[in-house]
Amino acid sequence: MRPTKTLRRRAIAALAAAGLLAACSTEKESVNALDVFGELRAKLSNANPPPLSEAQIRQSLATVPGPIRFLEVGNRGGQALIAPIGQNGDYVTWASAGGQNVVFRNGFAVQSRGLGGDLMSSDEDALLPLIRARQQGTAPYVMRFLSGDNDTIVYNYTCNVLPRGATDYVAGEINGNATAVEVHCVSETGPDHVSRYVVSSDGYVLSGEQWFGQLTETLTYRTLR
Amino acid sequence: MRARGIMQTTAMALVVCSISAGTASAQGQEQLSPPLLQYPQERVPSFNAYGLPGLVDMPTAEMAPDASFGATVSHFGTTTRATLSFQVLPRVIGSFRYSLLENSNLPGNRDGDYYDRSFDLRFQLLKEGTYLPDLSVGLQDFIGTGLYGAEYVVATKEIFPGVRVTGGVGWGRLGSYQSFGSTGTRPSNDVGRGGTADYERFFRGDAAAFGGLSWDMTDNLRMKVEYSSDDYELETTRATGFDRKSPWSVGGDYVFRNGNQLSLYYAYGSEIGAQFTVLTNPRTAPVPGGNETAPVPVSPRRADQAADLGWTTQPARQMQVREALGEALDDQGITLEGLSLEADRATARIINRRYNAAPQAIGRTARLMSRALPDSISEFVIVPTTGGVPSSAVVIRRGDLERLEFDAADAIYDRVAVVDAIGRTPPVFADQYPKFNWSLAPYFRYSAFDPDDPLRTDYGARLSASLEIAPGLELAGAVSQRLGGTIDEATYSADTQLPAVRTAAPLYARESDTSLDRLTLAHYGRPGKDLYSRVTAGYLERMYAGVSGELLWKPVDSRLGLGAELNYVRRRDFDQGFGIQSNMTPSGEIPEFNGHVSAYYDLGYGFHTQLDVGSYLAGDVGATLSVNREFANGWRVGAYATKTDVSADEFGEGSFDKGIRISIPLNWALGSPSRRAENITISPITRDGGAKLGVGGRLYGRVRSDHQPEMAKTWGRFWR
Repeated sequence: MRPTKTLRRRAIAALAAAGLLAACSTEKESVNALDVFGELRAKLSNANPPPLSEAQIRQSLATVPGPIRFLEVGNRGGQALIAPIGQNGDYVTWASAGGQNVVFRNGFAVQSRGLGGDLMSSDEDALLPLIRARQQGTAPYVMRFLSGDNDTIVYNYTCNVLPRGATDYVAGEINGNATAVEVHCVSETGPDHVSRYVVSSDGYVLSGEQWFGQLTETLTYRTLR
Repeated sequence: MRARGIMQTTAMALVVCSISAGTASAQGQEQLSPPLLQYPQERVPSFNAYGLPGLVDMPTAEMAPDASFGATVSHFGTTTRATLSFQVLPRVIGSFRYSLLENSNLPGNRDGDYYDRSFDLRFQLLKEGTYLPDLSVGLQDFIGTGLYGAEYVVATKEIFPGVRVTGGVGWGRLGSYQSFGSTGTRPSNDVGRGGTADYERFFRGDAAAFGGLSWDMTDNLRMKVEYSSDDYELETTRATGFDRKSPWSVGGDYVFRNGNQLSLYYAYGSEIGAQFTVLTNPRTAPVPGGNETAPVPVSPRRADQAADLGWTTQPARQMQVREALGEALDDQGITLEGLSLEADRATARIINRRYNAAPQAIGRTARLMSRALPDSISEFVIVPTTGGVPSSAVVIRRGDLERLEFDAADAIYDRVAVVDAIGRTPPVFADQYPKFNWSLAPYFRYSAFDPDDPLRTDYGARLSASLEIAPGLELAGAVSQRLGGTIDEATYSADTQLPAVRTAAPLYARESDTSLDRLTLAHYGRPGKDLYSRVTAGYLERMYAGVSGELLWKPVDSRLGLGAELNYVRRRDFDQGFGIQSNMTPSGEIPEFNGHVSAYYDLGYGFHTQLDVGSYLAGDVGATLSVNREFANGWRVGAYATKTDVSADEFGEGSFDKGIRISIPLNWALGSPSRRAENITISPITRDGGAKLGVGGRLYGRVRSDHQPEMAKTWGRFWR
């Protein structure tokens, strides 16, 4: 067979196959092969969800009782409001309506789920007391992520906690005095980073611009109520 | 003897593997290289027209980052090469190539087009240091027809930042221009049959020098210049349209951020050439960790409720628990098939429909159990099942779940037991069976390497249905309607000395557009501890009907599995309807019985091997060795070779059955969870020797992922 005929046939075959790709099935977890292209399109268009408006935030504060935090996922620009859905000791799991969770310990983010490139766990036992006390000092800090191959990537940090003085904290329904704290972390295994927090007088981390891994980069959160 | 060559190569690769093995990961799983996120950190070398690290046409001593998987298409003059390469080990790279030489009068050409398959291997003996260069030795086309047959020793050293100089000595093709000496007589190659590793040719005959320079001008741009020791004699004497005017070639690469490479070159003083190399690395993922929604958190018990056993006498409350848990699990892609509640222990029998990594399904089930079950229950047992058959039981103490929720995944791994499910499996709920499922989906089939048309394709629609009558008892079938394609145009050649067990495939393809792909009644069972069984009867595959029985011994915590399979086969009619025809083919009778015993072993460092020994479809007796490099995200890249008592002459082109298998998990590409994978087998030639029955549902693949050695590899996903 000569190439032109073959090529034409293949083009028809490819088109027919593409048209047929939308399979139907009674199986609950069937995956459409076209999803691959959907994912690619989403990546190519780099479409970030629109930021939350002041009005949306005010409305949520009016309708949702209890604590609320604002969350922004650094490099993807995704924003969400989150509320607590579970507590285990000091750890409080906050969830967005979109099915993402972030776990905070005394207001400090220690894990996430559903963001992509999640911080799977961290050892902040030595670092967090320094931040909460707004005290200068050095502490070890460990962050764990899943690799592309489902292995665990462990970054061992040494962090310097640097209090940056008093600041006003104004967000949502909270308005009060607090202290700004900067944390510089260095490591031989992971990228060095700087995170910034605002800590209340009773040692609760009200807000953070926290380095949260190479995919998320900075996770920004603010307590609104 | 030829299979011995494959085995030697494999053994050699495994030795290198254990020498160059790196550190152990968290769960005691050995790793060859440190974990990666999205892109390898190391420099990706330039790929040459042969699809391997090199200059324009000549090799360098470089290696790609460990596990790099590359696809290269290159063209210059009358030569087009398509190459798949895989960095098998940090210091071993292999490739499979399909090439076209146009305007040729080589035997086997079709209208001047000559197609050729070739395998290469390159070993790095020395890694570049302050003074020492990278030093590699390579075998080119060592197992094919020898058209590209060459061997080389090559060194590469970075002499200034970004500037690398390469020099080497080649034999065969790479010793054919301006040779400076000779190491004995090189036997002539056997273009036409191929398929054997011809040790007598290795590093024999004329030797010549080659070399060149590459300069990484920026992160994205690279220039290269080379002096070739290949005189392209075949292309200039047995083909027309290519004129080799000079040994010098120059080229430039544009390197994309993900390592993909676009190259242009001016080759051999006469030709403009181009190539594109797509690189991916199974150790990385577009979305490491996946982007599926979050699990629910653990709900700690209230101390004052722990002694409350009132629920044990309240069937209505137990039913509420069952329904709540079943609904919540279903929402997470997990089916609750059975639940037994004791005063302090609950056992859930589940089907993981969604998660490629079993620990993720176990972790999500455990967390939901913590929310749904009465506080007096202190131990959770989770029994994952496949096709109604339990494959393991994971025992988790509820207190550990509560205490270690925010710790590293290792912490709970150390506290969990993965044991045999025999004696621990609750019965299924009465309303679970029968289960009926169907799907209508497009299918796409291909048949490669036919010299008349190197890539034949078929497409159409396939209706599949299954009825699970009871746990482990399944009636399943598939009918496909071909809508178009060219596979039916393949020429049927009766040129075989064995019963035509697979070479008759074109007869099946051309006879009917509607085919009953399979229709089987299968029973899967657990005859005892560590044992799994399967009996399948009916239309087993497109060419054979019959009965297939299998028994597998695979302890839940063992890296070793042993199995046996016995098949009774009858040849199906060419129209692939319900008819059966005689097993007598023009070239001999297909035996009614075939079968093999198998050993499966997880070698560690991501390598897995399988050895099958037995009687094949055509009645030949022999063994198949498969070696896969497997990744915890589901990627598998491997090779297999079968050698039976059929001689190379009886076997025909290719000399013995061999091929490459690649499995790419859909969830890796999508980022969202799915258990589906795309499986690709590249078999250079389909002959009748070493052919196996294509029955579905073989046991090892069904039970392995729920066993401890596999779970250990993906345990990081327990809390995901």
